[in-house]
Amino acid sequence: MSSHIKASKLEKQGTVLKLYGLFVFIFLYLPLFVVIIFSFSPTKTIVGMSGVTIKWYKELFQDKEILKVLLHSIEVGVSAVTIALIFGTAGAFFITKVRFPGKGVFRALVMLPFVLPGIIMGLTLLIFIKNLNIPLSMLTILMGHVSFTTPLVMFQVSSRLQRMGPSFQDAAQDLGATPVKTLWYVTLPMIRTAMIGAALLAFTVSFDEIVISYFLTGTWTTLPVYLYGMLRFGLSPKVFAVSGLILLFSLSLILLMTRYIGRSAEEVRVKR
Amino acid sequence: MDKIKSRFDSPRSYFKGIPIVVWLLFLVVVPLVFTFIMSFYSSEGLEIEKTLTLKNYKLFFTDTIYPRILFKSIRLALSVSIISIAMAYPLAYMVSFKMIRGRNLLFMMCIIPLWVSYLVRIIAWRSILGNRGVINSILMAIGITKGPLEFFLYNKFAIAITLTYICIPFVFIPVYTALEKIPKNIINAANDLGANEFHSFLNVVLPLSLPGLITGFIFSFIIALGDYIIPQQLGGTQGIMFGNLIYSQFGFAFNWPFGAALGFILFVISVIILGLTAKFGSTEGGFLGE
Amino acid sequence: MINFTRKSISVTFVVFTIILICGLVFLAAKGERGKPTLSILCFQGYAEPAWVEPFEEEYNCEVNVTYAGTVEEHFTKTKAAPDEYNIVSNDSGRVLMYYDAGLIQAIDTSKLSNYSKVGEYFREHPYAQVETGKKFHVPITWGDQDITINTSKISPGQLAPYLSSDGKSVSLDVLTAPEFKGKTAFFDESTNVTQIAAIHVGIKTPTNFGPGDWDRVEARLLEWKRNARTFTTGLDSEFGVIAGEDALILLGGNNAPLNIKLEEAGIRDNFTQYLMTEGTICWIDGWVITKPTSGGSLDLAHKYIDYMIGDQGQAQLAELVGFGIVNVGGKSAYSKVALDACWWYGQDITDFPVPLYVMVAEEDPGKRVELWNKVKATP
Repeated sequence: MSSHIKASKLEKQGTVLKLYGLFVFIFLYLPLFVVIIFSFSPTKTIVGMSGVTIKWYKELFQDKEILKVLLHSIEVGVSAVTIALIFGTAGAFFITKVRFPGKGVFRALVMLPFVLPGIIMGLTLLIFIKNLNIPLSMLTILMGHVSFTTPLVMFQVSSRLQRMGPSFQDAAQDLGATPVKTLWYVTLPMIRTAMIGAALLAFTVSFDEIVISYFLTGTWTTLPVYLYGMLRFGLSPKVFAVSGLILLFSLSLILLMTRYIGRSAEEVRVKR
Repeated sequence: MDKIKSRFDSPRSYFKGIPIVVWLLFLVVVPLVFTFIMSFYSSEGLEIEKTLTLKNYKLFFTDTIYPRILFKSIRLALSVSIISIAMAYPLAYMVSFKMIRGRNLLFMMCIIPLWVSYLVRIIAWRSILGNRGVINSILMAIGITKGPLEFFLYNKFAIAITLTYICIPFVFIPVYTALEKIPKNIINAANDLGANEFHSFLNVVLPLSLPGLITGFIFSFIIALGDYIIPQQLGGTQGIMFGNLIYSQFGFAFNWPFGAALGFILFVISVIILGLTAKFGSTEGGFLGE
Repeated sequence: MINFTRKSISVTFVVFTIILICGLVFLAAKGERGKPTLSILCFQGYAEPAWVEPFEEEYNCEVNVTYAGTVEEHFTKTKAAPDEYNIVSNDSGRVLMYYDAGLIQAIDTSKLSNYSKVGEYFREHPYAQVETGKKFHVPITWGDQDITINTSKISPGQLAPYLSSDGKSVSLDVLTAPEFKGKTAFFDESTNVTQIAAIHVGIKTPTNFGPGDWDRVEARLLEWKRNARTFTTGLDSEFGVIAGEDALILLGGNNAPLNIKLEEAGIRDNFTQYLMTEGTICWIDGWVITKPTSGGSLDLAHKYIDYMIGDQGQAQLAELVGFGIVNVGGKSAYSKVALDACWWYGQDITDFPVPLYVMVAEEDPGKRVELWNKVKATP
């Protein structure tokens, strides 16, 4: 901002960029608006929509099946994220703190489940599970979800560990802390935000995962797989109502979070 | 300090690796090996013949439809990832560099669409792109076109636009976090030295955000390469992709071995893409670009 | 500042834990009851709360319903885990396939009090005779593939060359007519399209192709495809295509429910349902019982099937789905819409107005998938 001309130029470029950003935001939210409109349409479709109704929301709360599978999705998501946090964090320590040959290959292998197309992961796990004669259940879906949430956590945490370097832990140990104490009081607090960020994203991905779950599901279904089964006959407007509620819930959660947590986190980052 | 310890670590430290190695073996390596072996079996009616044969791979290379559809899918995945980057990168740049307040809010706003089921979102796209959909209704209402434009839906365009839509958050997240890592005073310094914004972007910001960009590229490319639901729902008569070919082997065809072979070919391609991009350090950066 | 973050973390952690505990409590509560269960894998519409909930109450049991979207998915899922499901909805063309794969057991029709009410045509039809003297499939409903035309956009004059003399059926040639290029749509599924294309080229056994038939069917399907705006993937997509006017002519298998949907949207007057003059295929949907089913679940399976072929179950099906039923006792429940659009469901199946080919096991389903993939992949 050394001169007046430059500042105004920057601002102008900013305007163009902001307009473009707005366009992308509209692109991102247009389908969501359509979904909201669907959820209030009395005729099950947008075609011939006349008037507004909340009957689908009412019916939603009487539909035990949808509520059940919604709960299933949350259960799988939370359990998968919890397990992934354990496996992934331990793995992150392993990969950053321990020297061993073939680390590059190891790193690539770990990343596979997250970056391979879902159809391959679902397929390979199904073939594996069938060979072992494991019955399809919540556990098999959980296996699938742990497979792609673990790398997410691991890389998130390991890059934080890398950035930190070993000096903090060394200092703590030099001051006489046991390894356990070092872990609890020094290391964990420092990787906490990385773990939370990874957990959030992992849960998001798990909550909407369909292809892997589709292959691994028996009678115990998650919401996306349930919807996929409905797709041929038609998504009930209750489904749009679920989406509307999820949208409302996540929007308000995020507004709250950025209001009370986000800003302070930002400030912490600046201070560091 | 690193140099002093640069031999193998003490065996005790290897205990840390047990969970991840167990996970790796049971959920990645062994299933992949099983699939690889199955791709050499053959299918006889409803039974799987467990004698090893190269039949499946031979079929892939001799019947022209399989390689052709594979290339079609790769082309599509490439265009989808390029468009996704073109849409998500400027957005991330804007949020990271042009917003004084509300950055976290905007960041989360880009993730929220992921919370609404993927299926619901693609059905919504169908009603946006159709002859009586949102876009055509608007175009006709303001008099730009007289009749509905048909090229929006049931073709490659519809597949590309919907896949792009699905991919944008997955490009945005790594790019944004890579950009956030760049200290803002570097840009200011570059600007003070007389560089205009474009130059400082090209010489400073872009190179520093490259790992995030590459990660975003990988995500979108892989998502687009493997998807079969969007082509099936919105692709119309052009809606056959490699994923659909794989998927169709698991229904009436009941040709799991051939499906496994096709899956393995897709696996090899994904690994090649990962290998080609690995030298840019994408895996070092973490998914959120830490 | 650090306190603040720590607090936020604790909050997140507590929320997660609460959700987890709620989930576990829910699971535990569910497992506790130990009621007999009936696990159903079916299309949407064959296990509606309207009768599943009373059924659960009457027999003090728990019914688990899993929906599969296509016939292929039914098979894949059953094959992958036969012990997961007790009864599976299945069409006439797939009974032999399930039997050959060792997935199903004979159904004891003496346990079905309503079995004698099922029309003779359905009881005696050879489609399900996979083993002499045994029944592996109990039909509940049937339906045909036919053509929906947007007659508000296509004038009678345009359509006239393709109509039969009585004006009630239309020739399959509309699918290849140059004047309707880009205005047709049909179902993206190997079984249905290969069989109807076979009827179109004049093959008399659409489920059993001779050596030269494969190429003829492939060529005809290519013609269909090049004329088509899109493929459809089921009722929802058919409705989307036709209601959104993306296509004006639709070949599909969901005639009655489609018209019910069009009526709900208030646009049914724009559409007319036609049978094909050359003839059409007909599926008979019903239940099969999986091989591992035994004990309480097996009893429940028979009771559920019995309910669905009874007068009340058939009436509910007729009202809700609108397809043809197998027990005339339920006939009075048809909606006006269904009978108006698909009038042939109101009469006996033996009086079907055009040649009707009941779907039976195909010679080589895998080869048909390959053929259809090839057609789709050819530009």
